[in-house]
Amino acid sequence: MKQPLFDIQDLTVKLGGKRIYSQFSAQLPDVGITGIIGPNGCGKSTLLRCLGGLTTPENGSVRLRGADIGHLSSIARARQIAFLPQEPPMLTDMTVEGLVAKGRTPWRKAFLPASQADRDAVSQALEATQLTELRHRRLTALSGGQRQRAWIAMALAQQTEVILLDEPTSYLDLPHQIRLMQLLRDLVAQKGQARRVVVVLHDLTIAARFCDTLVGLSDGKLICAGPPSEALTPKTVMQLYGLRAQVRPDPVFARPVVYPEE
Amino acid sequence: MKPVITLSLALGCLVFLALSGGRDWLAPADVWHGLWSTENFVIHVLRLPRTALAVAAGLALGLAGALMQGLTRNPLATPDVIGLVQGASLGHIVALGLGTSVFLGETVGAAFALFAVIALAREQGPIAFVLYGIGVGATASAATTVILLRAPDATITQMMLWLSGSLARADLATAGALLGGVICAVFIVLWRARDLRTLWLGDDVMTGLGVNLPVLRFTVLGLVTLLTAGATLAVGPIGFLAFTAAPLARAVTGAEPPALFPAALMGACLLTAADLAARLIAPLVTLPTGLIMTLIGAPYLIFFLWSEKRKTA
Amino acid sequence: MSRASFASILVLLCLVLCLCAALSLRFGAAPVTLGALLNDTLGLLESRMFRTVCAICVGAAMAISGLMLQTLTGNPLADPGITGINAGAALAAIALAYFTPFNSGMAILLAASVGAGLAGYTLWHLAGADPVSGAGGIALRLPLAGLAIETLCLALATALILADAEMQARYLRWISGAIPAVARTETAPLGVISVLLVAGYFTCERLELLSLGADQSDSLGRNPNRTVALVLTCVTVLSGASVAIAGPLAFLGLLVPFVARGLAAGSLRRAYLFALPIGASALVLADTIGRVIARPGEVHAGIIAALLGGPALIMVLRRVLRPARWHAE
Repeated sequence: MKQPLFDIQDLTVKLGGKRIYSQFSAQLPDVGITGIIGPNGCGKSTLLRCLGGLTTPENGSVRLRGADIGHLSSIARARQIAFLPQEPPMLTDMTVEGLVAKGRTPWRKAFLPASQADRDAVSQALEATQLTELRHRRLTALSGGQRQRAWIAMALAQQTEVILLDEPTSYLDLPHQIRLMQLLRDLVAQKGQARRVVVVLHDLTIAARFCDTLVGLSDGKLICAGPPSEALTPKTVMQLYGLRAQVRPDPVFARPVVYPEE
Repeated sequence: MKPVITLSLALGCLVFLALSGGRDWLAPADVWHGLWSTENFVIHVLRLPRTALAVAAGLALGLAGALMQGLTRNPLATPDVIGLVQGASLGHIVALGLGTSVFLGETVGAAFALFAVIALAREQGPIAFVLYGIGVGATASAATTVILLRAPDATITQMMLWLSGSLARADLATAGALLGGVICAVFIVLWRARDLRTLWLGDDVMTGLGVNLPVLRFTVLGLVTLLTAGATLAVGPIGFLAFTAAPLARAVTGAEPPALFPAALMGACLLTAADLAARLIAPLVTLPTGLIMTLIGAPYLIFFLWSEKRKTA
Repeated sequence: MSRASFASILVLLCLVLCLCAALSLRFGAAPVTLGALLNDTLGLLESRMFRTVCAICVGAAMAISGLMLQTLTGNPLADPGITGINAGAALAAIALAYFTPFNSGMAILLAASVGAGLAGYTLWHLAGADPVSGAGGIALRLPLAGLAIETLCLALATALILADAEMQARYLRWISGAIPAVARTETAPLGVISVLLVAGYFTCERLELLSLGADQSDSLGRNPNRTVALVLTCVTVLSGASVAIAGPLAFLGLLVPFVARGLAAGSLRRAYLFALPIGASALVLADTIGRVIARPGEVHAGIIAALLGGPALIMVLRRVLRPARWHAE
């Protein structure tokens, strides 16, 4: 078997005195998009933060291609993993280009201005997210979907192999959700630059349609992992959400769709 | 880069204006010659120290305000609103009473106020931070008044003038020392620019970009404390300068947050202009510069709240 | 709370007030034996008596205006000091003295009330009109708008005072909140305060209805706009009168209503009755302490109040912020 992307061993995490994970082990395979699903408060975001090194676990280790994330310096980590929180801060008077340029932080040197490589990375990121036209706009003048793309462009400019996204679609309408997921698909399909995306999602239909692997979590436990057709079954839906449901492939893309019965 | 150049030019013009303006206006040529001949009394004794001090203190407070606002992601959390300036004043008065170094007293006072606010507002969000700051500031200024009342009369008069933020007793040595401190601060900012550029993005994004948050926090809070203490020592507790400088700089030049250097330059412009105004309005009375600054800053705060309210409505 | 325990608390508070008043009469900046004080050759007792009456009235007025303002805005931080209403009154009174020859008690009272009213109106526009419950109720807007109004008014007032040596002599003491010892122009404000303290009690019911929400109040037959106007008038005139007597005192209106509401367990009318003696006792005590600690000089009651007020603000914040617990940043 190929080496996993993330290897989580005996993870124990406490937040505010509450134990979120205890002795949690899992492996995320080295595929394009990995979706993390599960009910509210099951620890999806916490797991993502541990993968990104934002939360230091009390015990256990998270390895990225065999290297322990806890042992990396913050700069070395930021050159391999980009992270976007669920609700990025509202910035009043920053331009799109200004925000995307912040993604170059781990590559910048003290006392030196932005290098040619920095500028190239920014313009590539703007191009990939189709924001080149809007580069001088203020963030406040953008729509919700465009703003979300600007943040993703910042993560792209970071030029990391792995991008972690926490519910990037939650405030978007359906066409924008589809467009965003399509953008992520384009990113992982790009030749020469094999990016990996790990994304927390709420919408099971979207998750099944666009992800290569789904990881189901409930109450700090791993319920299921695998390609959507294997991970989403009536049994796992029951375990994840306590919901009786049927799962049928959709007629167009043959991806599993959950039909709740209650 | 453009905002910095624009504001530097504006500051240069203001400084020139401040040197030529006052009870008697000097012709530009006289100012220019006066600068290079140490015998010119009006320039070298009266106006240059005052202007230099205004520039230095303005730079320090503007930079401190922008740093603090960026770290807390709160446009209201500046050293003057959250009680640091008041803490520094209390430290100043206590140090005078104890006969120790005034700068040390101010630094300790500001650091103590900052520590108190952080400890009180821990994990309660940015609103609590500002509210507790107002409380700490109020406590410190009341304590200052009480201590002041026990002092001999001569000290009281002198201190009252200092407390209202006056540049009347400026001297070149103080201005030079403060300017040196500001240059050190600018050096540190440039050195840590990579991390400081991510201010305003919030803890999560900053960590994701590889910023070492504890180090950054320590750097910013240390810089803010020292800059506030130094500026307060030199010109007294001047309110609203740190608070208005950064947003005004961004509004005028379109600089993007954190806009540290534009904010510092705007602070210097504001204080120089306020001092010039104080000298022009009442040439014979020593009208405190801090008073003028309040008359600029408090209406700005009212405008800020009003526009915020219109935005939410 | 039973009727009996309500009555007993009220009686206890009145006894405390009597004790404080007695202390205020007995001790002052000049150390005098009890016998000499009673013989009263110096007129000392009379001046202390006047001073105590002033402190009682002003203390009660500050407490009540704080209580009403807090109920009206739904914000436990609203007090006439923090909100800048007192500073507005002080600015108006000083402007009156600077620009006009009027200096009767009634004129000062009117000017101070108008100043307080303007400050209150500005505040209401900047920070009021949406008494949201919960975390919104302790929103930042009100104390900040208050801070702006307060510093602006006090800076202008200081500028007026600094410009003139005579003004300096007359008002520097007053602006730091000193209780007067000699009757000059205080009779009119004292009378107004007494009348309003009684009248204010009868607005409690309307105000309680309003705190359920404007629509609720309307549907129960009480015009919410009229309640707001009534209460704001009451608050501004009370503040104006207090400032006319004792200068802009801060923070008294913050802590006292907080304690009173804690004791009253939900009833505004009971809180009102509790706030009267607590506020009076607090200011009388602050004034007495100020006279004693710095003999032969005096520390003005306003400074003592402010000194206790900062920690009081922090304490109140700790109580009201604790349950809200915003998402940790």
